[in-house]
Amino acid sequence: MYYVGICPFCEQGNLGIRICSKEGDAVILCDECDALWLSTDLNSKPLFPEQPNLPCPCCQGNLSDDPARWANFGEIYIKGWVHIVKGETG
Amino acid sequence: MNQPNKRLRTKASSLGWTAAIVLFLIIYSVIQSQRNQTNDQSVLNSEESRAQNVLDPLKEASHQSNTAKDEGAQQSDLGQQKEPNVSKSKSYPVASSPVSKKQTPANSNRPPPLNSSQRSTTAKTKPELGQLRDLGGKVWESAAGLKYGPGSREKHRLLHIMRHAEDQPNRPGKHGVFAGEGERKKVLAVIDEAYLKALKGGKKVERKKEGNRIVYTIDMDRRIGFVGGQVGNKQGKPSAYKIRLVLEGTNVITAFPL
Repeated sequence: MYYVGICPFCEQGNLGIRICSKEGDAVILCDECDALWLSTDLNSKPLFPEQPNLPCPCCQGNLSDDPARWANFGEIYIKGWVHIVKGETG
Repeated sequence: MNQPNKRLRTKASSLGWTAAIVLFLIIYSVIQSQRNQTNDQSVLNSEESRAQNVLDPLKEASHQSNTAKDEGAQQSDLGQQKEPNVSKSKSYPVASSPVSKKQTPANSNRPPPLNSSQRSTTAKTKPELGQLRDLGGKVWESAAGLKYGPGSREKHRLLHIMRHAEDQPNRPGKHGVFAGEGERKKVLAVIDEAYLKALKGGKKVERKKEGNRIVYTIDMDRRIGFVGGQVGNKQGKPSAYKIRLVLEGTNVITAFPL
């Protein structure tokens, strides 16, 4: 998973770029507490999608079930978010 | 000559039948009364024994989770937790009573309503912190009232929480690790204890609310684990004295040492 920072809400989770299951929407999602950002402005207040399916805020898909996934480098590049990537988790 | 003999034989036969029926009725009524006494005793004791029967197998499941190193093993561990439900009904003495199939409060699987004296007896046997009971729908409730249900990339919050039972030295940032040698019951007991402390409030409890989320940070006044991950390992795995609980109502999203 490519991570873009540490979650400012729970202060422990890694923030990854998640691709939703239907339209391929990209969001920033905490792998610890499921806090979600629609943009790279991590100072804005996060959304908390409904548990446990994490519906995508942009379409009818969700962020939890296949084919939802962590974005690969190509998908991050297309989204234009490469500049915020800090590294890759193990 | 044959006529009187025949009458005598018929009379003797009917007397014999009558005696046999009376004897049968006496034996039946004695057996019935003995069974009723046994049932009454079983109903009174059933609440305590049932609680124990439900919780004992969970202890085993918890012990088994220690050895589950990978996610797959943990998934099967969750499956094993469901067995108590089955054994619970098997071991419930009233259900096995052969007296009648009719479902009445006295012999159904449902525990009878408790009067005040029975309630005080039940209170003595309330589960220890860290013990779970199955609420159905893959949701488990802890002794303190926290609920662990489906969710997270691990597919269940119990599995998600147990990520913090061992260090992930390559994880970026910090990764709180609970003490307790990876034993789930010990981890959940600390979380239960922290939650009860959070509900009481006080100087050692910080509370942050955002939307439907509540984040508690609780100072436990003792070492409850250490800080791992890349940052923690660089710092020599410093001890953790606080727990952070992220909740939605009583539903656990995550919990970890700080």
